Amino acid sequence: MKKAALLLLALVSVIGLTSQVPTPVQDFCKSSETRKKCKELLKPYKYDASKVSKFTFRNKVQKKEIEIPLYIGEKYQFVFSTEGLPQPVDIEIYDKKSTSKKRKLLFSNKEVADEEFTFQPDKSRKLYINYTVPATNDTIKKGCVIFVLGYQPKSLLKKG
Amino acid sequence: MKPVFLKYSAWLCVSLFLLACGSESTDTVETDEVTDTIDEVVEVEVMEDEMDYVLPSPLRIASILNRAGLTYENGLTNSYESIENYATSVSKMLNFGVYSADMSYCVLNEETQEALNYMKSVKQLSDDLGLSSIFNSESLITSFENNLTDKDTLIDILITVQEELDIYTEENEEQFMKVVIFSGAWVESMYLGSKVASEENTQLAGRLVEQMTILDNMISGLSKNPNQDAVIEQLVVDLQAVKSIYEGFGSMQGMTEDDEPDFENMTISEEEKTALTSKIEAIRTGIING
Repeated sequence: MKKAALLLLALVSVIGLTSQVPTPVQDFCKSSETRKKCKELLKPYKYDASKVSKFTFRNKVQKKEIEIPLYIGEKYQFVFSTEGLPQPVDIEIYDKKSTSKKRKLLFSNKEVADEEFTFQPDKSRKLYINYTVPATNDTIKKGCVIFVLGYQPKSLLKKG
Repeated sequence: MKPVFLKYSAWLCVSLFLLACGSESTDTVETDEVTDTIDEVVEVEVMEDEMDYVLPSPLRIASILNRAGLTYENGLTNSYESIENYATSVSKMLNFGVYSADMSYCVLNEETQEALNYMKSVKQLSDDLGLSSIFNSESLITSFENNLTDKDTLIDILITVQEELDIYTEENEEQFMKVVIFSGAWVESMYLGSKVASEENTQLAGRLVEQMTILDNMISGLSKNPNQDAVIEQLVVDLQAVKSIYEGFGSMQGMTEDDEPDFENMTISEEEKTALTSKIEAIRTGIING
């Protein structure tokens, strides 16, 4: 009887203690490793800036907009990596802010199969990256999209 | 036998009670999260930083101005000996940016010995700010010293410093530090550009005006000012004044958010240039005086 009571106590204690440990939120973002891949894809363009956008997947659709300053006459390349995402995020690039009724879609990742991909704008002016994080009913997960901006090296040289 | 069973039953009850009491606050948080996850109502959520931005590197700004005619003029940059004046974290951050812009200006104009002095100043400020990892000990400085005649390599070193700074501020969630450093660099670049810009060189004036398009993001980033630093508060007020001057330019009148100004061919009057230059110079004086 004593043994049975002890076993019961141990069992309840284990159940109680495990229920105390919060379910770990899985974070799929490995920014330093992914950055290296982006840097390779950036070539022959040179690094200018970068942004790691971190997301927590929830039961609501989430939106984020990032303004990218591009200067007239320069040539740029955008590199994205979605390797650090537990599930897809829509990535779109527009010529104007989301508040503008005149904005045009320049790029969407919907047709892109690779985790890393690039985009080269035709004209250099301010552009807007829009991330749409879909709703999920799954367990809470975190992830990130890495964006790296590069410019064409010859633009560093002074005009003849 | 009975007392033994009762004794262990009592322990069990006490244990369960303690577990229940001890978990109260944690449970509340977890319940919120779980409820959040299983709720089937799908709606669009505004993320905390729904509007975000990317800032260009000081080297990028310097190179754009350089191509538009920003030539080297002796004595324009902030003396690297002024580093002793910078005692607070904010003045160190701002002048880290100022020296970064001066360093880029010198490298692009092949004033490499001068650039090396700025590189050493930037390194010293980065050590003071806990950013020494961006220089990878002394290797970048040594590499810079060994390549003073190779402009392309020096540019690559500046790019590496910028990239390491971006990684550090991102990984350590020091976005505010990054925008403060950038603001110092931006003000110094505008100062150098406005000092060199002449009536004949309309291209440089246009490219200076183009830089005003990132003012909103700088003001937004600086306004977060987590420590309510008075220097930053003043800087925000000053940059808002610069924005007002820019928005008052004749060539900006009638422009809407959807319009794309032609910065390459934009002209500004002498009065407009004077108003902008005076304000930028006043801000810059405040920064470099620490």
